[in-house]
Amino acid sequence: MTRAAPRRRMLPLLLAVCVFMTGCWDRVEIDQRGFVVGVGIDEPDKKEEGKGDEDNQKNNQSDSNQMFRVVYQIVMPAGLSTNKGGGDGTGGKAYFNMAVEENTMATSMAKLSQRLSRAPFFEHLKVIIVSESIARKPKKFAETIDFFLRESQMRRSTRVMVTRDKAVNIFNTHPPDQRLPSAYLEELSDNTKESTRILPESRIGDVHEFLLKHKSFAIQGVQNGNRNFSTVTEAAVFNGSSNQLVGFLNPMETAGLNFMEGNVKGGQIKFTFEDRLGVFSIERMSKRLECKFGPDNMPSFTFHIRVEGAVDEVFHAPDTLKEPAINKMEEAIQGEIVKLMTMTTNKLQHEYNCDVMGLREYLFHKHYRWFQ
Amino acid sequence: MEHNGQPLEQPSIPSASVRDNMAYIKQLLGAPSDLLIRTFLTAEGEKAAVVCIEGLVDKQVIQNQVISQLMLTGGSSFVRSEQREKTGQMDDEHSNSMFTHASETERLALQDMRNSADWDDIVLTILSGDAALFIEEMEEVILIGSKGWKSRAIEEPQTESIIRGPRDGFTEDIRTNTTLVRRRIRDPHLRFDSFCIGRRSRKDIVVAYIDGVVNPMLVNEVKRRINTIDMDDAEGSGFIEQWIQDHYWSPYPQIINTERPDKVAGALLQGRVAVLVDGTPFQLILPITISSFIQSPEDYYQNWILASVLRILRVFAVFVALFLPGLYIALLEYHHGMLPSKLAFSVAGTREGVPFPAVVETFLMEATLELLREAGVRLPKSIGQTIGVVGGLVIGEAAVTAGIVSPVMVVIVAVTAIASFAIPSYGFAISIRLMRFLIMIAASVFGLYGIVLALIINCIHLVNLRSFGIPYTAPLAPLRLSDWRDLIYRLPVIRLSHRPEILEPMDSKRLSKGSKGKRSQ
Repeated sequence: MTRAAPRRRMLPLLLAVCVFMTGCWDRVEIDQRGFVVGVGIDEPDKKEEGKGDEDNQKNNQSDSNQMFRVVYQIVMPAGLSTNKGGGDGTGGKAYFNMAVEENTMATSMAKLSQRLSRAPFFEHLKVIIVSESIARKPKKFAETIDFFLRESQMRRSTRVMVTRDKAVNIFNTHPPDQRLPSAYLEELSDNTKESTRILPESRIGDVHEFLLKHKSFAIQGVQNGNRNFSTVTEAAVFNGSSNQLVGFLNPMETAGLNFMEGNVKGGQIKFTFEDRLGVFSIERMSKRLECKFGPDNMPSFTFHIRVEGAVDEVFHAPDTLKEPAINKMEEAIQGEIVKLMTMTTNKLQHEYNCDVMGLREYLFHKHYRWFQ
Repeated sequence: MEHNGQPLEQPSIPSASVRDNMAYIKQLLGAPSDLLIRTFLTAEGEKAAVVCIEGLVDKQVIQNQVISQLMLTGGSSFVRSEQREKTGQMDDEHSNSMFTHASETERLALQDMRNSADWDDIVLTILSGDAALFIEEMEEVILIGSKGWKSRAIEEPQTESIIRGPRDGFTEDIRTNTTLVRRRIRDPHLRFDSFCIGRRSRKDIVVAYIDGVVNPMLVNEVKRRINTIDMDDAEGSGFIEQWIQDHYWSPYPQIINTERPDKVAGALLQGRVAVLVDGTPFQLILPITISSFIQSPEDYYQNWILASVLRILRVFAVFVALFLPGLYIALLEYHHGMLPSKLAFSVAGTREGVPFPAVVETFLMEATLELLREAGVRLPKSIGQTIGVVGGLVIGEAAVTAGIVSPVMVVIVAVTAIASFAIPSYGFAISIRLMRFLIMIAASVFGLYGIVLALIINCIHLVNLRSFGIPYTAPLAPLRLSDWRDLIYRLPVIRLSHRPEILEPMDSKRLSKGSKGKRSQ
């Protein structure tokens, strides 16, 4: 009894120690977080760098000492809140960009946190923008986004985009109604219901999948309009085997790619009808792929596309109740869609040599014997 | 009887002398100022005395029905008639009067009368508001039911008001309360079993149930537990509730109290037992399950769809009242990635410049809220409303402008408070308040993980609870699908064909065989 009593007295102490020493260790106030919403990866400016061996580095493309200029877009929550009491009614900026030069992403993040009072926090990361010059180099694209796939804070729904411009410029562009360029880009990339020319949003998780499968793929390319807007109507085509950017598809070709992949959810098709313009708005579409093997045992693919929609605008005003008129219009629309798809196919097949549509996968699934 | 002084030499049977008896009573009660003793001579010339307590008796009854009747109208003598009975002389007087060999109870035009020869009984009866009539040379005492003290009128229940439904509520008077129940159930099997508890207070309590519906084992258990009550005074029903409940260390009430007679009647018809306690408008219903706390009598007066939606709303309210501040802490301190981005940014923006961490902020505001609530209860009704305004609006607004708390915090506190008021049972709402603070502590130490731990601990505790042997989480945890008809949702009345199965009633059918409900099944 005399020995049991102190032991029993120790028990609550032990419990308290357990609770209070294990708890709270990762507690961080929400206002102590620096929310990183966008990451842009550029090549460093040559003038700024001013190093002699810069040119060498550029020539030697797969050099592991390649420097990146990483731009972080960080939210300033106080600027974002529409608090009536605040004195910043005149539209104080809701974000700031901070550029860091490093040759790995992790160290660049470390460098960032040396400069910021608030620890960078990536769970709300919206977009990663890689500039063309980085993506063109073999393997560099995969290397740069590797960190964003591994780090435990990262989300797989982060958008990945490629730009011909500098990522910094994209991150400084936003329409007046949006206060965060990154959030703006994220919402913009979801607008596939309104336009045929926007690829489905390119989530980093999907990109990761393509990279692992060594499959060619296309992701959204972002273009800087003027000061007020960006567009994501381009597509950046990556070659699966060499793992690098091979080129861009222009908006029309992107639309063609969308039709071939069956990703069109809406949008407009302009067509000419009796020498006048008409606009057809797509409501839904379906796609069927067919494969035939020619005499030389080479496969040829046929895309069956079925589009439903309504005529939105016709300048000629035909009698739309008459069947011939409808048939004519349908033919015109059909011609337009085929034209788009042919353009895309030509470019992908002959210029880029990339199987972005997933024909290889189709053969793998449906004609495995031939595939082997 | 116990006394402070030397033990009285207590005659167990009243003596034949009125004077001796009066002396004894005066000595026993210490001749208090409210003791009324009226000695008089009956028309027959017998010495008689009426003893009662002023304020407890209806003086009119004593005066008109007892004293004046005995003094004026006369009739045959009690004693003589008694003696005659004893000596077997009744045949001689048979033709004289109808009172000749009548016992004394027949001479008074009163309903509630009985004889007693036991001092304990007599004194208790006097002290509980009846009158005792002593007559010279008679060895029995006539006890006259003349209770008539001032009691509150039947009013609308203060704590459980509903929109549609009866407006009468229990009062402090047990007789009124049994009446209110009896008026709703005219079943001859409705039983009111009386008990007298409290060594000194001798309080009346009534165990009400419907014989043939309720499980007799349950009634026996309730009676057994009530018989074990051994204390000076069972003040209110709370003492009794705490004495007879299964787990006194649990924060959750295992017996529900109500001011509504319709709720009691409904519970009786379900096969439950009610304990009506004198001196309080709060009567007890038992056994209960956790679902009883989200149910309100109004559910049955309304359309079933509406009632079901309201019940779901109340379940939601329980969860909000329990978890919201804890979630706020956990999300703001640990899991910033779990908030939608825009919400995270705006919360972070509003917290800009708030000096305290979210934990301190939350505890501060919740404590303030509890203070306000407590203050509102203490204050008179007219000022109580001011407290609400001052507390809710002024303090909230001022705290935000002063930058002590963030506006989001005020929203959280307000929503939590409103949610906890939406819970129909006040007792349960208090338990929820308590558990909320536990969950807040857990959340501040471990984040969401802590909330889940606290929830698990809570669940383990809840499934272990029993209310008079009935599992507390009954139709959910020991699954009784047929009881689900009246649980979170309430099916149409014709579908409620059976009493709750978990109560194991003797008569489980609520609807008769030929009724609609039966046919449609």
